[in-house]
Amino acid sequence: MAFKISTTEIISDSPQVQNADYNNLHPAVAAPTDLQINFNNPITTKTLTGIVTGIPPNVFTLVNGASGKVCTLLLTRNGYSIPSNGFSGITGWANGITPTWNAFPYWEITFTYWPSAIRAVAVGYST
Amino acid sequence: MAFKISTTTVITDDPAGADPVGVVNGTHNNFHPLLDSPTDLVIEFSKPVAYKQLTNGAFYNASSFSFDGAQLRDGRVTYYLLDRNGATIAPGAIPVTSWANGIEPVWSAFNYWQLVFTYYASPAAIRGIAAGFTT
Repeated sequence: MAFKISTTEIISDSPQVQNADYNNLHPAVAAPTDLQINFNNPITTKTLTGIVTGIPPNVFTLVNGASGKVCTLLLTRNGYSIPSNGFSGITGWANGITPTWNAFPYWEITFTYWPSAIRAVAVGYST
Repeated sequence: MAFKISTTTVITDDPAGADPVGVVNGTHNNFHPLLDSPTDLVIEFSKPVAYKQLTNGAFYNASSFSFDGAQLRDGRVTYYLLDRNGATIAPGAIPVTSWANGIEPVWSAFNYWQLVFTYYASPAAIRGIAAGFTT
């Protein structure tokens, strides 16, 4: 059953939230034990406990993508290396350049699911 | 009527006549923006994310894109996924107040652009951040 304020539908049966602002509304955080990033989780945190080889299952993968979905990975490399093919299924990286993962220990990576493509923006941090 | 879980208000009523009418509070999970695929070149702050593929070989000049002025509210953010599709976009075609780092992207440098627009009410401004992609 839809939720309305007066006659305005705020949550439809789809369900879709609409006609609303948001405040004090935050993403739930997922902390998987594997390297799978789920688009259904808005924020994923991962601290590596070993090297990423780029060979399944030792490679980052994304699941549950659909057009318009966005999710972010907060990655602590923890001294372990990640090769250039450490993320599978990415169509393109910002500026056309795959990040040099070993250049920074901390990475904030945002994945956006376009129609028929996954594009990603990565920002590295020293501390 | 506000919506509560126990004593916590999850959806409050905005004052009468406000647009939009509700305020949502809480934590979200598996909660996604609805993708809009506009047929025109109007960028809408009421749409969280839009995907637009331009016409191959077309030329887009300084009056091609616009923002829907009725949807401008302080703090609103919208994502615009732009597939240039080989079209030419002239400088100033997207009428923002300014671009990140003070530099308008060179549109021809990449075919795919992920744009984020933020509206500031006072003084009124639309500021944009762009990330380009080769593939």
